[in-house]
Amino acid sequence: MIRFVKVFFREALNMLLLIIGVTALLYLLFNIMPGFFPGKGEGLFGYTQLLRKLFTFQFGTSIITGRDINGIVFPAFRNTIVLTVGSIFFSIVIAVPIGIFSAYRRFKTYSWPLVIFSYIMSTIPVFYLGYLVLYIVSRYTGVLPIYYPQGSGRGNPLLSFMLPILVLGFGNESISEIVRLISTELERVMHSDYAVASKARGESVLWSSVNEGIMIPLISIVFSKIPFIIGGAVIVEHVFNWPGMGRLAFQATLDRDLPLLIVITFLSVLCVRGGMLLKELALLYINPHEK
Amino acid sequence: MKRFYFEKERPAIESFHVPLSRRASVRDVVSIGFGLLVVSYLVVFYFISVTGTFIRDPMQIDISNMFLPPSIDHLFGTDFLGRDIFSRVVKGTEAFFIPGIISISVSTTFGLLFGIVSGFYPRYSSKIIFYVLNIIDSIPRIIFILIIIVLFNPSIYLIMTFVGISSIPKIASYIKAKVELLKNQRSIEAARALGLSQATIIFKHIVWLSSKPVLIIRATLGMGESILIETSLSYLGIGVQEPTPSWGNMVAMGKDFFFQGKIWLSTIPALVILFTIMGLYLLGDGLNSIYNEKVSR
Amino acid sequence: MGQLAQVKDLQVYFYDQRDKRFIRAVEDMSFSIDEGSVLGVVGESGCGKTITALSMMGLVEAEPGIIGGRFFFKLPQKDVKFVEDYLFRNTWIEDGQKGERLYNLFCGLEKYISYDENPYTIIKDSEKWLRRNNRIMEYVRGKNISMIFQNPGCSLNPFITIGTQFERTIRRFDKETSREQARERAIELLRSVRLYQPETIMSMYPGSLSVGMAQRIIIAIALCAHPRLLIADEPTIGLDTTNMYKIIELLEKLRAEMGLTLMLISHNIRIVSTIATGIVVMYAGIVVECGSKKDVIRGKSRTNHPYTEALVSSVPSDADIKRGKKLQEIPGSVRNNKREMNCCPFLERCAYAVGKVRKKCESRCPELVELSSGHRIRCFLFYT
Repeated sequence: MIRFVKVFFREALNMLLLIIGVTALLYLLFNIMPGFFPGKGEGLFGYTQLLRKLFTFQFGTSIITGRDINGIVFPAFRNTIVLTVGSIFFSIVIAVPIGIFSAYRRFKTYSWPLVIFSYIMSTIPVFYLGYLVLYIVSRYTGVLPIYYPQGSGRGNPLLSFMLPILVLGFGNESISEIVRLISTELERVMHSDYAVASKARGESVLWSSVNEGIMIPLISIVFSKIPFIIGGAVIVEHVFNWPGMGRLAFQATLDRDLPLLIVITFLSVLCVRGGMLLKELALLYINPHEK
Repeated sequence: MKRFYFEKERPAIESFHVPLSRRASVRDVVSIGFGLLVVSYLVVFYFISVTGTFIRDPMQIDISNMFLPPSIDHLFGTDFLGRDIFSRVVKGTEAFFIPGIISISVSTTFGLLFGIVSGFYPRYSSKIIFYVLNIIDSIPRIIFILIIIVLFNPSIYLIMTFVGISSIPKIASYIKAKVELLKNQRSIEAARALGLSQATIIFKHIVWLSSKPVLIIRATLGMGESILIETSLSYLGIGVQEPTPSWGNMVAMGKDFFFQGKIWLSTIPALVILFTIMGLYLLGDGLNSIYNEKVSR
Repeated sequence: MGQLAQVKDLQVYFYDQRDKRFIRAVEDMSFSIDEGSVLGVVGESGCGKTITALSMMGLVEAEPGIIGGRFFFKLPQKDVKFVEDYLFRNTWIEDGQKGERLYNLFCGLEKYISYDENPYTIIKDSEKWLRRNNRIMEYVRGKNISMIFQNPGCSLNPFITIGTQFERTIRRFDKETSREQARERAIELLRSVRLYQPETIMSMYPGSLSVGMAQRIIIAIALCAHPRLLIADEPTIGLDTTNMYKIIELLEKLRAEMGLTLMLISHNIRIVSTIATGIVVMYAGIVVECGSKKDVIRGKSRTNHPYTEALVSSVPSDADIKRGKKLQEIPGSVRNNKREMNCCPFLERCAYAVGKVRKKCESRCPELVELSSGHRIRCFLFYT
């Protein structure tokens, strides 16, 4: 138990330092901007003000557009989290069985079609996939599964919720990577000494002791894909009009709203490092020997 | 009834010069073949595009010939302004070819540089370097680019430079691990014991020889990623602008015509993107499997 | 007590893709195990002992693997019930004494094998055979036959505690067991392998165990479902001498207490001879001598195979016997049911292959000949 705490603190400290670094960088960039923005902060004092604002999650209003950042960012953040987590879950649910199947059928003639399929699905440009899905679904159900504001009486809430998750699940390239990872690691673990030994003692053919072996690389991969997924979310949110941080970031870019972008970056970095923290803890839980 | 076969053996030794496995499986050969095919057509297209030797002008507007489906005349059909899509696809390679190369050059050179330095000075320099690199690594790539766009209003070349910068951390960490591994091998100690004075050069050679496959694989995958990013940005409208064709903005322009049944305007560039990226990834994976390194994306 | 298991004419071949030839791992292997006895299998590394054991357990996965032979085992009625309709269909033999049946666990092998005369290849549908075999073996492994391997440190899952390991195995065989019951059972088992302070051990990870402890724990786990046959593949490698004898002693005690039948594989004939009742000596994948312990251990040139004599009479250090010699690759093509071996495999190292008998030794491989009841030798010196 105490190791958990130690690791937590170590990673949290890491995270903190990195966030400070990120904000410093952003602040620097903000200040050296070719003088388009009025009212730059006054040097170091401005920076500490920025930090205070960020860490207390009071983002104030944007200098550029006058928008209330707090008001729009939090719901967007929550929506993007939903999208991200949902799509990770979906990718795992699809990719892991394919990987397992591919590992158990060592004679790869069976698994070729699946592997090719997962490859193709992973390299379809996500913006096209999104639109294609949109088109097909609206063709066949007569409904456009884009997100409409709550209570506007239009749209199909279920579809508009599931589809972006589906699309991002495919479009973030995790599927082919997970498939490959699982099939190679599983094959390796399946033939390792302890797996054969436990099979000889009677554990079942399918489930014998291999789960720990594959969990570890799986968790590492999944968590390290988080930045990528957030990036993919930008596009998917654009296609489906999903009210998340990605769409917000895009709008901010069009409006040249740097403060909003800084806030979004801050939150993304928080997610990414937070994910790393979780990953370390999860790995520690599974693998008690810290190598 | 099936014929037996022997399971593929992997060389288990982490050797000095990365060995080429004698038995590349069929899958690897197919992957690499396909990838090389893709690379070759990319090069050909780029060459055609740069020299302007088109059969049909990609920019020529011809209202009378709008929306022609693919035919012998127009291999990929025409778009909403009557322009030949195939030539536009060919010209589209210009949008990412040089920028992509810039991106991978930046990432591999600086990745190598930082990796080597961190590997040899693991105590102080490495910590500083990796602190900065981790900062870059923590920001999702597209958001990083969006910030750059807001700040500098850059051309596609500058954007790709920053894309390259955002790829540095992964390469640097891999190289650093390599260096640390190799540093302790007996052969280096032996070399030093022999009093080889140009030790640095030797190390560079060692690092170079040992890391070359990784760098090549990274470059291939990096090119694929750059294409994806460039097309995504153009799709969103913040990359290459009309009327210059980019595969991304072609998909974007074409998508509105989906509902009219003219799916090829959008689908064909998308398929080209798919094909190209898949080819590059397969090339990278095939090389990966041959060289038996485990390079992750 | 009757027979518990019998292996007949086991043939295991592997195919080397690189050099495009067959490696004969095991050929013409036959022996039988009586209930309550200890069968010792001795021979140097690479002579096929482990492969024999693995094929009995159905763990051989390389191609083409088992291509011939039958493995009869006395399955208890409740397990037979599960697999009978699917599989056995008249492939059993009667145990003379008690009239019980020994079922052929390799039944149906012939269906998946065919020989191609030209150019002498074996065709085997390995995947289907493995699946079929696995379905049978799921009822056999752990519950009826259990196996332990050399290198005990590697046989335990390094990510979970010993307690969890026990729990999983126990619950696998009896799904009703609660955690408490499983834990108690585990502690009981640990005590029976003479490990004191079992509670402490339960929460340790395999990495922190000594080799001796690990080996005992593995024996305990292997026995948790009360198998009737325990195959121990070189359980004493890597242990120091005192530990070696202790483990062997432990196995003997368990045999007496639990009525276990043991098949002990080792290169060290001294160790094996301490508790074995019958011994099988292997060389280059074939049996060169087998019989009761008394007959084999005599180790005299008049009564034993030259190889056995060499093993027994010299006091070998492990380095001597285990010369690290790899499996004798005997390039040969396989014809239908007729093996082609050019000469006696022991020829180069045989001190007795001189004079008149040498011609016979060089011309073909000797057959297994029965010297006296139960004692068989494969050597031209004993042909009458």
